[in-house]
Amino acid sequence: MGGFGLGKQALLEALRRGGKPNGTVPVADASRPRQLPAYQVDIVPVGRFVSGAVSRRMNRFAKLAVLGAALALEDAGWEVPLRRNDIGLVLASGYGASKSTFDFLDSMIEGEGQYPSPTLFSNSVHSSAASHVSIVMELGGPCLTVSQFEMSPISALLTARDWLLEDRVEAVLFGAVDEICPVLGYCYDQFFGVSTSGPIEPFAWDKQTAVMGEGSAFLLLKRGREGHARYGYISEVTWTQSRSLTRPADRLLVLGADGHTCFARDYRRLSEQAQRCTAYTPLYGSLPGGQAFDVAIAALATEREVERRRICSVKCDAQGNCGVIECCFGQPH
Amino acid sequence: MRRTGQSIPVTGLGCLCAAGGSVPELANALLTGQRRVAWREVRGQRYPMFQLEERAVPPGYFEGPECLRCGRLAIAAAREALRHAGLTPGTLRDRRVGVCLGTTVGSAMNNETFYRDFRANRRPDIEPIRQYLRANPASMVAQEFGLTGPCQTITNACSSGAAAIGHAAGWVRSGICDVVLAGGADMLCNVIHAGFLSLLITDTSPCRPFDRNRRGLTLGEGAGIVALESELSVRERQAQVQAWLCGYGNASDAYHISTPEPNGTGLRRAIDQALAEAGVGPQEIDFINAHGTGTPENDRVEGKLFPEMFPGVPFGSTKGFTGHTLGAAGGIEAVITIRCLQEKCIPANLGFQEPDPEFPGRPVTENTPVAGRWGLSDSIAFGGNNVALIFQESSQ
Repeated sequence: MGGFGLGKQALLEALRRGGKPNGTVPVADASRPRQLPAYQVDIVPVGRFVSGAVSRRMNRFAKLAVLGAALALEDAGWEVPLRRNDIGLVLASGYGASKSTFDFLDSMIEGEGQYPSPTLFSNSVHSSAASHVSIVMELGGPCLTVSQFEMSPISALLTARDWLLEDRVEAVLFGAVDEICPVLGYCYDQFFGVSTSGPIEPFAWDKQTAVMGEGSAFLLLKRGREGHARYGYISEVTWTQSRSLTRPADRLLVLGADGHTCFARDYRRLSEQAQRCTAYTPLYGSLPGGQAFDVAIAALATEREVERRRICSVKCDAQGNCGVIECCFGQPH
Repeated sequence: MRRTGQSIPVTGLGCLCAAGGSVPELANALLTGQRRVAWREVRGQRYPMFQLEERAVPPGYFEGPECLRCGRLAIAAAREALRHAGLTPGTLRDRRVGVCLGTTVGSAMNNETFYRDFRANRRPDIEPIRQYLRANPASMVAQEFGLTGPCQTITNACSSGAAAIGHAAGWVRSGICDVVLAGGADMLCNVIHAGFLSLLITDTSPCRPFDRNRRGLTLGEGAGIVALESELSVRERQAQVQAWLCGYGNASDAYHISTPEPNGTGLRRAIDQALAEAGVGPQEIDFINAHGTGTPENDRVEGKLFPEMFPGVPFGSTKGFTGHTLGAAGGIEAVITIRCLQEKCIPANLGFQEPDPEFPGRPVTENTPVAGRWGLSDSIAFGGNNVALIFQESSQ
């Protein structure tokens, strides 16, 4: 889920009609109050999967994760809670539970001389979202939260892949979650100024056009042993260096270019090499976990047999690292 | 469920914490029962801290931005591990080297000064954010040593360091890395201390793991890193193997956001997984390095489980020497476990005086000789993640 809405149908609809920011984030500036565009999520539907009593103990970050995970499991036809110990959970987040971190700081600052909020502290830990998912879904298997900025999804997916290859688990619930908070809005304003008004122009290499996004994208992964996989297969998960990355020309390249000029050089080079390339960031916004959305879109393309050739998602960071996730329709040989 | 069970060589150890600025200093402190406790006053109450001695902190530690300190600790420990392993810049260049580290503070944007100014609409300078974006500990280590393999910062709270080591072994096993620097790093932080104070799980005395009168944890800081290496790389370099990582288990309580499941079923599953992967039974484990934080709930879980699963096996917590170093704990305790295998001795569980009648487990109260063949280290995280690592002595 993201600024496009909730669930697979909303994402498909966004793919058909295009995407744009659906909300705004205020920038704190007494002299010049303003709003920045953002891709924001409505998390009210989490009530479909958890009771009010349970969701009251969760912060927004955890609700994003729980809702994303629940939608993935529902789509797979799995009933929640699962009550299983053989399902792994890997969660990637670029900034973690940042809003809860600042909410906890609020309670520290406001309550000078008193104890700050223990609930806010518990929920400010990056792994709190994964903990809530495991509690709600009753998942007793291995659990991991990875925080590596733009490389969070690829790094987390390497772990998910290893767990499956090593037979540690029967399946992995893999997801990426990032949330917007007022501090992020302030940072966008300070770093980029008026260029953050949008829209995202992924291929305008010399323009800063990133627009804040939040959301979660979850995939249920299994070993590709037999039968037909509804959403295809992930045939490659590679961490490499951007400067040395090349891809076979027949791949549809899905670039994680999200309007940040600091990443543009490598995306530009890749786009010039590719026969076909695209970017879906205008559908969900600029967020570190964005690559998970691209993989989800690749999976949808496979389900609908829109694309039978291999789809290659590429995400680059400012340190020259590059995450490559290749998806294919049929079982790879 | 089938497991691959391929053991991974550990060729280097690096560690700095309150107990010592290097692995030899740490080992000496454990052997001699020395510990150094600092004190901090919060709202008129003194709290103990296990902080690094000034002479042990890396160069530039206090001069640079605070948010980079976790990374600097990690770099210092990684440097020692690489040196210990005999991995020179030249040999690193010829190999695919990854970094997998756990942390809590190192991934959080909790710059109080910046946030106070932001809250007060003083429009703070954005430099702290730039620093934060450069402060990812695993990335800092990778950049320091010019490593281009995969990078992963695990933020699993208190099991992060141990989970990092377990996952890093997977990278070696699957062939995507020849070497991985794995472990954890965390620094003392005002915000985190305030958080644990709010949970009422900090002791006003240095922590007393498993003691009847324990009142909570004592925070610490440091980094513990091991160099995991493929057997092929070890043979090519004729490197010395310090120990073998044979078993890794990871399981969740799915119980509560901050309290461990009282029956320890998640921890039991993690330990069972590690035993199965190592191909050993509980009776073959020679000692256990417990998580043993000194909180009533944590120690009750382990105090009940260990005698049940491992009757007669000595166990103890080393947090009486290091404090609870959060994301670094699993890394530091992996280093300690390996050193215990090498010394064939486990240190006394500092802080334990009176048994708790609520559970049968009694940690060792003095330095205890062990056969030194198989050691288990467990970590129990905030939010219910449990990790177990099993190391085997190296016959080299």
